[in-house]
Order: sequence, then structure tokens, then C-alpha cells
Amino acid sequence: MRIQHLPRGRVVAAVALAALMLAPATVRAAGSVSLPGDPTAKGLAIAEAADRSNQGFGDTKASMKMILENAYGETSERELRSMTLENSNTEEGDWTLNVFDKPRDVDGTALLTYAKILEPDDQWMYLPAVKRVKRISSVNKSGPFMGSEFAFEDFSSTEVGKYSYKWIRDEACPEPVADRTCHVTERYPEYEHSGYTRQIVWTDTTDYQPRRIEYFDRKDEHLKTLTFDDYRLYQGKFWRAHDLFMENVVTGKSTRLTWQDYSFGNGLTQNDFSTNALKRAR
Amino acid sequence: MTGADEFLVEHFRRQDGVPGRFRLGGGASDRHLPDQLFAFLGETGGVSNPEYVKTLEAFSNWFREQPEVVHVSTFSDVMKRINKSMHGDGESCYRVPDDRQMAAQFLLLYEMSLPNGLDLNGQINVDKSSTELTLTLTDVSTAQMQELINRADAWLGKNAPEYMYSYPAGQSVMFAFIGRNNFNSMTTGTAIALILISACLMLALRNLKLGLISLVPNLTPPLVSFGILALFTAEVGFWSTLVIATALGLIVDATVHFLSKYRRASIEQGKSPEDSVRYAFSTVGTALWVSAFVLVVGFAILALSPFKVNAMLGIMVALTVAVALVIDFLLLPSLLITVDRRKKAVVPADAAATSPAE
Repeated sequence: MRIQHLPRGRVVAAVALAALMLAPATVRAAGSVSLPGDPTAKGLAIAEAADRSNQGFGDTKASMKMILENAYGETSERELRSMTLENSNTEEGDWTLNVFDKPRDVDGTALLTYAKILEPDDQWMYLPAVKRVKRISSVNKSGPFMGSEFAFEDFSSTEVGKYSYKWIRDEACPEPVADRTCHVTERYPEYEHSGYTRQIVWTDTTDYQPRRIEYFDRKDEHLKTLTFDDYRLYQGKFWRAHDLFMENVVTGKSTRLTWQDYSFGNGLTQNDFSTNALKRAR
Repeated sequence: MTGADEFLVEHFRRQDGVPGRFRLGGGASDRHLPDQLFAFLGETGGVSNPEYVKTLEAFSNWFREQPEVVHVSTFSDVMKRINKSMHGDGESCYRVPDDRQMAAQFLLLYEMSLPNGLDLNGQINVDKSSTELTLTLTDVSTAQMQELINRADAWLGKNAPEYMYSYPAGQSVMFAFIGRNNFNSMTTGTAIALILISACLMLALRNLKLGLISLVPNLTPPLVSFGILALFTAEVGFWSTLVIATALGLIVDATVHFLSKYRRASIEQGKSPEDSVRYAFSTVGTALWVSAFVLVVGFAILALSPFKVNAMLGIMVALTVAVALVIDFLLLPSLLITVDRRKKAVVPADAAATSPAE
């Protein structure tokens, strides 16, 4: 997901090439990925296959709604619009611009993130009330996103280099796709400020999309479970989960994140992801 | 024992302070179950409202002036700190932001920068309509706690808009009320136990007079031991109700043994009161002091407990059992002799009339 902005012709060529090379990563052929036997190599191969299935998406726009719920069933909502630009440089992650719509008091506040693999992300926030852009120190990606159960690191694009891997077993996928088979792999964050020691990922063998992730905190205790649902296919090859449910098993709090109005190929460029663009984002 | 003057924090000797919590609602009254009512608060995001934060600041400052309060942890300090760092760390900007949108956006920026575990989720509720004001108090009794709550109530009534009113919650507040309820119900329970015990003794001894006399050795030991305690301290608490309930069960035992032997000698064998007392002493005297000694030693060991409820329970039950033994050996025989001699002198047939067994 890492196409640096290139001249238009080259982008098209790169996408075409990627599509050609990575044909197995598309829906139909994903199951044909041949995997090595060694658990570590197999875990990595699964992660690479999952990563390939999303390569070449270019850019997306979508709107997101978060519903936060605490242990007493009290809820609160956040809404934002999100733009993502794929970064072809495998040393770096994608670029994201989020514009907050709700709560009303933060309407127009915008967050720009240049995701990194092993270093802290670069982040800036635009505050319309003071008309200023502030840089955020985001050494720690483990903090909660807008008070939700999602941490920054749970959101950010899944780059292969962020973790080391180990395949554990294959088993039936979690509901609602229990009729399919999932690879169960453990992955260990390489980023030193990660809030987790490990994550257990259920990857659907038919489309190489994650179905469930269990997060283990720094004390290696089960902290959260993320369930992916409502996958829809875009442009015949890109799967996007529209319903992500994160449940904190310790506090009983949960966050449901729903995506709407996904669009691909919006012709976004790096100019749309500059600190100047932040101010215009509203 | 005019009230359960509870020194909760004192229960654990090594604990420095137990936080009491006041929740300040932001949209509607959450007078009753503050934990449950956040969802019904009117105004979402009200914690950024300058009026709210300024009132909270004033309330926190008021608490800081109270002698019972050691520390106040409040959201208004967080807001002031954020405002200061957003304005180049100027000391003059350590104040509540005047603009609601600005405050909300500063807060969002701040939240985004926080690492895991340092987030504000514990201090602000999910829809940002309420914050938590946490107090660390000195060792305060139930009465002092109640008094502080009343003063805080009065302050809120005078200085805060009605929607911000809230009732305190938290461990120490809860324990204060649990302590008081416990004291009241234990007092009633102990009174009922005394009545039932005496009724049982009357039935068992088949004698109204002995049953009534039994009240004296049962009731006086707790009174005497609390009298002795009062020479050292005026505090009684949670443990005091346990002392009476526990000790009562033990001292009734001694009373029953003594009275049943006395009854056998006096009523069944027709001995004089003096001889009946001698008979009682010779049959159960040794057993009584040995069992009392064992109980005193056993309960005295509890005095070593760092948990004050256990320690005081041990000391006071040991003391009460010891006092009960003295009363059973000195006061009870004198009482029996005095009452029986007078009765026999005035109405000689009375003993036979009240005792169908003879």
C-alpha cells in the first residue's frame, strides 16, 4: 500500500504491473498461495499474502462512525471522514487524513498521519478554533483513539514489517464465517513502544482477510478482541471490512467502528496530504 | 456510644488515605445512581463548557481549603495545564480556556498525545458530559464525612448551576453509610438477642425470677468493658457492635452454667441461698474460670492483627469475657443471695409457688 506519488503514467503502469504480478492475491486465487512448512516462515508468508491482497489500491475515501460503549451500556458517538493515500515505499506506511465531524465541538479538527513501520508516526493536527496546526508527539502509538478502545496502532495500516510471525494452527473461522478455514498466527510487534506483547490473528484462507485479532498487553494478558465483519469487495480485488468491533475483555468497554461510502480511485495526490491541506480539509 | 463514629481509614493502620469521590455531573442531575445515569445527561461534551470547568475549578479550590482534604484531583487542572502548554507554556495561561470549541479541540489534541494507561477515560465519561473529582481525605469519621458532604452540598447549592449538582460516591462515603447502617441494625439485633436469651433462660430454668436475674450478668460485662475503654479513648466504630454480639454468646454460657447449678441446689435440693452459691462454685467454678481464661487468651491474640476491626474485636471480647467472669463470681452470687433471702423472709411460700417442679 505504498505508492509514493509518481507521475500519472507510471502510477497506472505500477498498478497494472502490481495487478499482474499479484494476481494470486485477488479473491479467487488467494487460496492457491503455497505456504512453507516452518511455522515462522509460514506466518510471514500468510502476512505477506494478506498484504499483497491489498496492494495497489491507490487511494480511498470513506466516512467512519465510532460508537463507544462502556460496561453500563452508556454510548457515545464519534464521526469522521478519512482519506488514505497508498505509499509504495515499503519502508513507510500509508498517509491518512482524518477530519472530525462529531462531536460538534471538534467539528473541522483534522489529523494528518504519515505512518511509519518501526519509528513513531509523523502526526499533525489542525485546530480550527485557533486556526493552527500542531505537531503531535506520537512516540507512543498505544494510546486510545478519541477515547475509544482502538489504539492508534490498531488503526494504522497493516505493514508486514511491523511484526515478526509464527503460524500456530489452522481451524474453522470465527462466526459468522464458521464454514471457512482460518490460519491462526501469532505476531509480535517490532515497534518498541507498542502496547502489546503479541497478537493472535485469524486470517481467512479464502480471501486472506483478517477475521479476528486478539490483543495481549505488556503483561501478556488478553486485553482486547477485534472482530471484522461485513466485508465488501471493491474494484473486484480490494476487500474492506465495514464493521469492526473492538471489545475490551478487562473493562467490559467496547467500540463499534462502521465504515460507509468507500470510494477508490479519487485521484488524490500528496498535495492533498500536506499540512497546508489540513487547514482546507473541512 | 452515642453514634457510630466511624474511623474507616483507621481500620488499616498502615494505609495513609482512602480517596473519597465526588462526581460532578455535566448535563442533568445524577443525584441518585451517578454511575448509572451518565447516558441520560443532557449535554454531550459539556466538560469543555467554560462555565462547567470554572465551576469545577472553584469547587476544587473550595475543597482544598477544607481541613479534612489532603489532595484534590480534578479535571479543571488538566484543562488549565493543556491551555498553558497550547500557549507556549506561559504561566499567565494556566487558566480555564474561555472558548468552548477551543477547549474541546485542545482536549482532543491532548488525548491524542497520551500513551496507553495515561488516558482520560478514567476521569471523563464516554460522552464527555461528566468528570470525576477525586479527594484524598485525612482520617475522618462518619460524622465528619457526613459534615463534609453537607458543606459540599451547601456550596454546590449556592455556587453551581442545578444541572451540575451531584451526590458523592466512593469507598469512604460508602463505608461511612454502611458503618452507620450496620451500627443501627446491630444495635437492634443485640437488643432482640438479649430479650430472646433471657426468655430462653426463663424457659430452661423454668423460673421467671432467675431469668430476670440472668439479665444482669449478661448485660453488665459489655457496659463495664466499654466503660474501661472510655478511660482511654472516646472512639468506637464498626467493631463495637461486633464485640457485643460476639461477647454476649460467650458470657451467656457462664451465666447458664452458674444459674442452673444454683437452681438445682436452691430449688431442687432446697438449700439456702448461701449453700446454693457454694454448690454452684464447687461444681462449675473451676470449669468457668478455665474456659474464661482460654477465651481471653484466644481473643487477646487477635489484638496483634493490623486490621483494626479484628484487633479491637479481640481486645474488647477478651476484656468483656474477663469482666463477665468477675461479675459471675462476685456480683451474681451476691445478687442471688440478696434477692432470695429477702424473698424467703417476706414471702416464704413464693419459691414453691413459682417453681412447679418442687
